[in-house]
Amino acid sequence: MLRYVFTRLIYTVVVILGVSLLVFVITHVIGNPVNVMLPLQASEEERAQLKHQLGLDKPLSTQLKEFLAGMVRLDFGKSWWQQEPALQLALRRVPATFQLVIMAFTVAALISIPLGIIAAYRPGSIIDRFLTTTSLVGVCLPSFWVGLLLVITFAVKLGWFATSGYGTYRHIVLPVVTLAILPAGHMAQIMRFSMLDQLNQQYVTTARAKGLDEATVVFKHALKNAATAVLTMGGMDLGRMLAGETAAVEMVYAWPGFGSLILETIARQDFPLLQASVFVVAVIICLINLAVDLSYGLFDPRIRY
Amino acid sequence: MKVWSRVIALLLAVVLGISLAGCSSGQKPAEKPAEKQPEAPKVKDSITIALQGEPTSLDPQFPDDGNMRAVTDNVFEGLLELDGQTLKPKPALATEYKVVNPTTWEFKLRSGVKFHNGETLTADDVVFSVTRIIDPKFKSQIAGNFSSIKTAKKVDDSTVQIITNGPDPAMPVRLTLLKIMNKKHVESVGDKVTTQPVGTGPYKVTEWNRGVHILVERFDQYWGNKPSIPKAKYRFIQEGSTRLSALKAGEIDLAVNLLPEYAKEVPQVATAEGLEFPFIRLNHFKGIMANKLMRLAVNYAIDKEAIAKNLFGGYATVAQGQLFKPGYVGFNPNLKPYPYDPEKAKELIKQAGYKGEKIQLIAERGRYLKDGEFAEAISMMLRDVGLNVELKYYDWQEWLKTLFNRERAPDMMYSSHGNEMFDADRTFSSLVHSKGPMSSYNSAEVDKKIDQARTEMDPAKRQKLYEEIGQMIYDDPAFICVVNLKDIYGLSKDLQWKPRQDSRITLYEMKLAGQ
Amino acid sequence: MSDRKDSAILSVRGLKVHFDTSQGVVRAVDGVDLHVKTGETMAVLGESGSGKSVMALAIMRLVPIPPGRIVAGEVHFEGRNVFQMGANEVRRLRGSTIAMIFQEPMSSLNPAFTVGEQITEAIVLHQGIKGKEALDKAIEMLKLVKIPSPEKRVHEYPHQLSGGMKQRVMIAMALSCRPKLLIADEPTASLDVTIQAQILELMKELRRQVGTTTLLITHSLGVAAEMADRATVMYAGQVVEVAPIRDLFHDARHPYTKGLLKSVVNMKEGTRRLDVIPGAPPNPTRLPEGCRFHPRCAKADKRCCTEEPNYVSVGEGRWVRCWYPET
Repeated sequence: MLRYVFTRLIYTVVVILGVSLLVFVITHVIGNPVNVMLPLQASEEERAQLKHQLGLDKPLSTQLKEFLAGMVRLDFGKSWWQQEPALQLALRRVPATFQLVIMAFTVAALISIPLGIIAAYRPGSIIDRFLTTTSLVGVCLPSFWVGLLLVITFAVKLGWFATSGYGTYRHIVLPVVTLAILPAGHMAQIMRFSMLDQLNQQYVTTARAKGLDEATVVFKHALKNAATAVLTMGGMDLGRMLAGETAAVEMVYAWPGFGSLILETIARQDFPLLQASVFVVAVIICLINLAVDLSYGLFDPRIRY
Repeated sequence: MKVWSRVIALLLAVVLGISLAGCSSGQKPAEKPAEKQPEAPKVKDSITIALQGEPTSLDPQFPDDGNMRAVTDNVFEGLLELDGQTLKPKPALATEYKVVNPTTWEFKLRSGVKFHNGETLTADDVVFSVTRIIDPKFKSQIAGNFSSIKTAKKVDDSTVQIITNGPDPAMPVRLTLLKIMNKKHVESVGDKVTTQPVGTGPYKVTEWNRGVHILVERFDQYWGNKPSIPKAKYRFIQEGSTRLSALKAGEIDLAVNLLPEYAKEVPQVATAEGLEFPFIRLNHFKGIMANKLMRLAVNYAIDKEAIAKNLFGGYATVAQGQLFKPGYVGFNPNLKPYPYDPEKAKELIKQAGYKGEKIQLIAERGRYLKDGEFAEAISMMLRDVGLNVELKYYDWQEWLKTLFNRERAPDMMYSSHGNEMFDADRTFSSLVHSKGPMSSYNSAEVDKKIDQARTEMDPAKRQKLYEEIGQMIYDDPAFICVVNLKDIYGLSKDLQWKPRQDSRITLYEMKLAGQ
Repeated sequence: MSDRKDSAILSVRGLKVHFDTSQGVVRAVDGVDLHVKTGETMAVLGESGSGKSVMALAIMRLVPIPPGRIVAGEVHFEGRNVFQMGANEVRRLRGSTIAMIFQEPMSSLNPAFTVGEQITEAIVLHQGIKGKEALDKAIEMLKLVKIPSPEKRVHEYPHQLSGGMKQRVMIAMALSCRPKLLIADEPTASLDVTIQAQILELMKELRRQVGTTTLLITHSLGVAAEMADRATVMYAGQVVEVAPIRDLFHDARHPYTKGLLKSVVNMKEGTRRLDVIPGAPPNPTRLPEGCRFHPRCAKADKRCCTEEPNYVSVGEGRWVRCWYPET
């Protein structure tokens, strides 16, 4: 187990290094921050001067060496716009996104998993048909659009919640709901499918033949077996939410999180901040994957590390 | 099945519990109604302004950041400030100035001006501020505005001289962009200068909750007129439709940069001619458009009224045959937009001997308001008069590279021009002068006049030179000047404010009804 | 089958279980009568699809509803009608009084729980003992079914056991609460021959030790011959013949039973003709009129095609459902 975790951590380091290198190469080859930072009317001399100040006139290999040397010390340099250490700026945005993602994920799981189980328990019933349709719709809806719709309905028309911003429950409900729709759809579908599969297994009949009540049969015997599939999907959804989905939602609700930071940073081509942000996202996603992989063992004894 | 009812009841309890816990962690339930209408019966003493994004910094000397300026324009001041309607520089921290010789400007400082930290403004602060922004090590993103400044020196406690590398008649306007910092504060706070602004302006920053809001409060010891609104909160809402929603929901009082189609939905709309001029740059020195007749033809072929009305919903004015609006140094009042005359355009094309050759139009999409549709409309009108226009959209980076590379200049190129100096030199030097970074114009005569005007210290003579240049590039067209976009602001019912010609968001000029 | 036997621990009367499928109604069990006496082993013989497994599930009320439906009939266990019991009462019956062993040991155990957890579950539920005590009882049961080092095995997961071991675990689990009736649904069908013999040997031995009444569902005449006291032969959802096992083998009366026996004999003689009975079992959604077996019966006449035969007594404790019970 420890050995497994250790090798996985090494693997994680390789992945993060790879991602960082990729971003480095892409930004430095395609990007041109000088054009973004200076007004269009700036002269050639001003452009050359800024390029020099940012160190972008050095050979790419030298820049790469400096970048790697910094990364080893977790020093990505100062943000070109904010003039503060980039990693610190990136980390400061993490808690707001975490708050949003964790709450959305919890809501999604609390709604979708029981619904998926009920639907699987009574396939073809009204609940099942309702769930199958709504979860499909949920998966297909673009969260940006859903967000706008929710804002217009619940904030502008009804005034129940704030349209945007950060602080109280009035601010968090709508973004959480918006963000929860997609993973809820996914997880409900997977839960239903996986549970349906498990409920048709012979061991379920064995459990019933033992005299166990339906709750024990479904929630203990079948659920534990069905859990791995949901766990996989959940882990993927969590990663997807952190790395992308939140950006759109944070944008609509002016939520001061990580996703909107990355969008802003890409637009400004603030390389140090972009590198630090990508680094932070990569680390978080790798850790989630590791946690998911490790927790498989809790549900499926056939998995050993 | 009874089991299910129990399971569902349990789940409901859990969900309810969580949502209640969420409530109590945010705000006590008892306070909820109060929170809903914080400004209920009392006269409100605070407004909320929604910006397009969070300022990257509050050091007004560092970034080129409009979101920051929306805050710092109320917190910091320059030696001179612009009149919001005429765009003429007027005294601010300097009460008067004179030109000692073509490279030396002398400024008399206003006495008794206090910084927000209680310090009194001195000549040292001004010298410090000027030398700070031009110091290459500081890497200011707006240093380019001040490249003509060589140095600044203190004459006495209330007199400062600014020395330039050569004659720079645009100095007064430049100085409206150079904010004066408190030397002592900047030197003592180090890196925190980006988050702890200390200026002389009518408002002081009291809180910056990163990502959430910036709070400002009226500065009691301000030297000038006392502003009407005591407090303000800046929020950062990137998404235009969310700004609209927030305004409709009564959460904010001012939303910047409203889309034209949203304008009829808000409680109150305020507009002013803005800075942006979307236009088409014509290749004057190479290819099919090098023929003057062709360039004239395309100018007649464009229905500018229609674009202003239909594409921009009326929130644009037809450009007066130039990329300037009244008030800019160098605006030529004699120029009129080319009339929309497709017959004349066809005739000119025939005269030019055009045989249906392909004409490139390079544009980009998604950066400026309706940029893609604009380029589409232009190309359709040009096709209507028989030109074989091939419209291509480049991504932003590629478009920039093309814009800056004279050798790769296409026949026609969409761009948008905003001159924050309100001085013709900016536009002509970069877009018309053959050595300008974005120019595809080639006229030694025009180059000479631009160079001459740049150092002409007599305002009247300088104005005349610019009017001549304006006429020359109108007669032998450098561009298709189309429209000038309006700034559109959404206001709450009780906010009173007249938007400015320089697009600054001046909290100190706003009022609340009933105050 | 009118002679009601008071010694019967289990009586199934006129049981009809149908399934609604997209192809139509499957009459899986279509009027079955069965009586099992205390202490005996009754074999239920039949090809796959004859309805014997569904009948077994119906006894424990484990038929999935929907798509299943109990159309008619009663199941009496120790004189009480199982179909009239409340859900809780049935659950108390399952696992403690009536236990079941399934065909597929591979899939009958839950892969996510240890052997011990699965055995103790029933013990805790029905016997009210907990924790260490329950675990000890589980180990004891594993010992009983001759699993080596049961103290270790009890903490293992099903995937760590062989097929034969798993079936032993299933048996241990079924017997853990000393059931009065054990329903064994093809307990050895999926095991290879040597393991099959071991399991049958174990079951025989346990029967001697514990004396549980057993309902043995099998398609194998060999297994029935070895294990059972009596046999009930099913065809297309109905019982066609009931007889003591010895009589059945020596003097079968129903043409279907005869055909089955012939096929075994043929196999023993090494002839290639496995399919002695011509034709195939009927489509369960479109059962033939009259006698279900008539399309495959050499002796069928007009009457067989139109009228359904009833049970005919053909000797002491022997019944046949045929118009022409051969003597």
